[in-house]
Amino acid sequence: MTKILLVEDNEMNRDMLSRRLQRKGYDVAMAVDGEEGVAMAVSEAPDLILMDMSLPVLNGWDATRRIKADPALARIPVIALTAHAMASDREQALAAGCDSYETKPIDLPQLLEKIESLLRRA
Amino acid sequence: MITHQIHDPRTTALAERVRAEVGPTADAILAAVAALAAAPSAGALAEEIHQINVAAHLLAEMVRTCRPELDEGGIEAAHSRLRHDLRTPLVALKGYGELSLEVAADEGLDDVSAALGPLLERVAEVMVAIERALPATSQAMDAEGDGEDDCGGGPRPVSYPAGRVLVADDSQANRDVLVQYLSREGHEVVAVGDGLAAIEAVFERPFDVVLLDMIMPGMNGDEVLKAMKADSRLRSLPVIMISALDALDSIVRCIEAGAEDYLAKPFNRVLLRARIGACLEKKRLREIELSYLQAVENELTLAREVQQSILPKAFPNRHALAGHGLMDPAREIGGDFYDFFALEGGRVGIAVGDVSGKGVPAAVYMAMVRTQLRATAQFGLSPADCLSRLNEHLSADNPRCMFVSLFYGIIDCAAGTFTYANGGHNPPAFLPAGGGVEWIKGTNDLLVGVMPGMSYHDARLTLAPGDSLFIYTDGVVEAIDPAEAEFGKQRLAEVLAATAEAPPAILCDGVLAAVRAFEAGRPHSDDLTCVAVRFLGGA
Amino acid sequence: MQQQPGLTAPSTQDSAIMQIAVARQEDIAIVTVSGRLSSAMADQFQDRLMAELDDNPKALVVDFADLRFITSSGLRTLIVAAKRGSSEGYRVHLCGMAQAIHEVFEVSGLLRIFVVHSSLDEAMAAVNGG
Repeated sequence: MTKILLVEDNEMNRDMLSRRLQRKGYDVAMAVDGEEGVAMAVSEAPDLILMDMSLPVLNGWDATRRIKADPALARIPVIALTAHAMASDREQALAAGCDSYETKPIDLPQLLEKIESLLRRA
Repeated sequence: MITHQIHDPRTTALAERVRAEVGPTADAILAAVAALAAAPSAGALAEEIHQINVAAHLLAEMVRTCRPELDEGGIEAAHSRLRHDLRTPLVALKGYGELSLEVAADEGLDDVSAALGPLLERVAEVMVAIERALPATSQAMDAEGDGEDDCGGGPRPVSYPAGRVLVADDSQANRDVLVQYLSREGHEVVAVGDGLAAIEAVFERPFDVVLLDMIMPGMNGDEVLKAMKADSRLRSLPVIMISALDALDSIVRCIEAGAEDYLAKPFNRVLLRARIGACLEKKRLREIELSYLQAVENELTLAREVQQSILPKAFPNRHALAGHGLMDPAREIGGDFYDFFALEGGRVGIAVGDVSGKGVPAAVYMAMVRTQLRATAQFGLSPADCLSRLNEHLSADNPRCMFVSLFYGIIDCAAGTFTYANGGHNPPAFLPAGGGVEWIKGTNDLLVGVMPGMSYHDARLTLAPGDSLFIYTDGVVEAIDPAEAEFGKQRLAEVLAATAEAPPAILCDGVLAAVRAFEAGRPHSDDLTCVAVRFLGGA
Repeated sequence: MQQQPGLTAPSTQDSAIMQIAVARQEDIAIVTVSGRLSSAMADQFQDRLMAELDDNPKALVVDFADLRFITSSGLRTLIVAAKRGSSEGYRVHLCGMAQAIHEVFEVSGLLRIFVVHSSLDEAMAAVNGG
């Protein structure tokens, strides 16, 4: 079963997105800040990470940089989730090493397509 | 303590726009949520519906109380903050809405599904409304880095036309930045390092817009600008000045000297893109305008050709008669015409007419009048009977209420007579062989084509050898001099008296020359027509 | 008793171009036009004239008191009014023509379709007494 790590500090968003992903048949692990996200990337060995960008403790950009800097984790695709819908966010996310980018509110079919295409590539 | 309460009209406008664009849909969402909560099986999704309800109220509240504040980030920052804030409740609205729909479908809660459909439609609408109320900066920026895949999710960027851009800047670094950026936008870019090279470039090849650095070695940007604006071929080529922000005075001078806009250093790519785009768009519109004017001009040329093509090439060959006609058109076509044609028994028909109105309609109507007159004349009718018939035809179906002043006469060379009818045309001149000018009495019949059932009357002159007729349109007597005085019948009579002995062609040319001298170089405001006929007798 | 038409705001400030004033006396529409009734102004004149006729007056009186110039487009406008009048059962009365303007109407044969009076008083008397 494909395991997705969802790093999101907002409880409501976490609940909603995790339930929708589970309904689609994914195994979902959850972290509530960047620090925990990096730790769980190691411990849970997910197939893919959904990373909110504005996270407490360690923000999403730095968390992604840490993951991508670790040779053992670098191959895990990371999709950035941001609320801004602005190109500068997207550029920053891609510069931090994210493989793709989604704007909130999430368009689920589009997100699923990105997840599947990144998983195929991996 | 000093507080800075900034009441900027731009933030007020922003708030009003948000309320106007987003407000109604936000309220519609509230109504849809209420309908959802009232669904009989709503209890099965109580928690989700609660989240949806909270988010819907938050959105409506934010729109109602929206008061953007300005900080050091300026209006653009206020704009994107607002956009971000308004999108936040949509995460729960859309997310829980769609999740609930999935659950309701799985569990067969049809009433909940039915209530969720309209809600999700309103949510999609409100996202569009937010994009409409708060676009611009985010749109321009979305264009950047939109390279490898197409999943931005935001609105598509405004597309500007691509063009040929000349960049003149002495700094290699600035040139590199501009060339790289503009090429990425799809423009064809040429870069030069000084003013003289810029001048050479604009004279050598076509550009759509020029970016000129203000300070360059050899020749400054403002001097290049002046040289361009002084040349008629380059005057309309838009120029954007590049300058340091502190050089505001010189920017103002350049805009007065004809520069389209300016760009401050260091370059803001969004502004650069927008200004180049605006210049190219303006140029495109100017070209459309020019091509439209060209089309109008072509149509006038066509009308002028129609008008010229129906005039007779030569006067009918009769031993007893000499005749000549000329028509000098106004720029806008007045609808004048003249005609000569041979009739049975050695007679010759002569007509001069002036159609009401101007331009293509007048030219077309004139062609019709001329054709109908020629056709009618062949039945051996008198001039008055011809005009009556023509009047019935023309006034029968005439929604535009056009008409023609028409003088038509027949010279019978054997009998030495001139029989004529006058449908509202100004009286021609009779020039007896012995000298003098007389106005040929009108029959005071109505303009042709005005009303059916009007009667026209014949009148007759007896011609002696050497007698001449001069028929003209009001373009002659209503020509005006620079002081707005009219040429008038008196001046016409003087010219005719002085040239009465000359052959018809000379007579016509003499009148035209006198009118032109009177107008002192100003163009006619109406067509000008002269026809002269001399009876030689001895037939 | 005579009454000058009450002037409404002139359509243009420049008397050299054209001015139109409109007045009503009971069921009679009085349109005063002065200056130059050129081709460029004819549409404007026609609009005012037609607006008056839309109110179904008993008669239309056009006062040419200070008209100095008229083109064929200007004549056309009056012809349109006359045709409309003949289908709706009234005639168009003209008055106050300068000699040059009268000559234009005479030459064009238009005196046959309009009723012409020397002054506004005379025109009003004819319309009311008619």
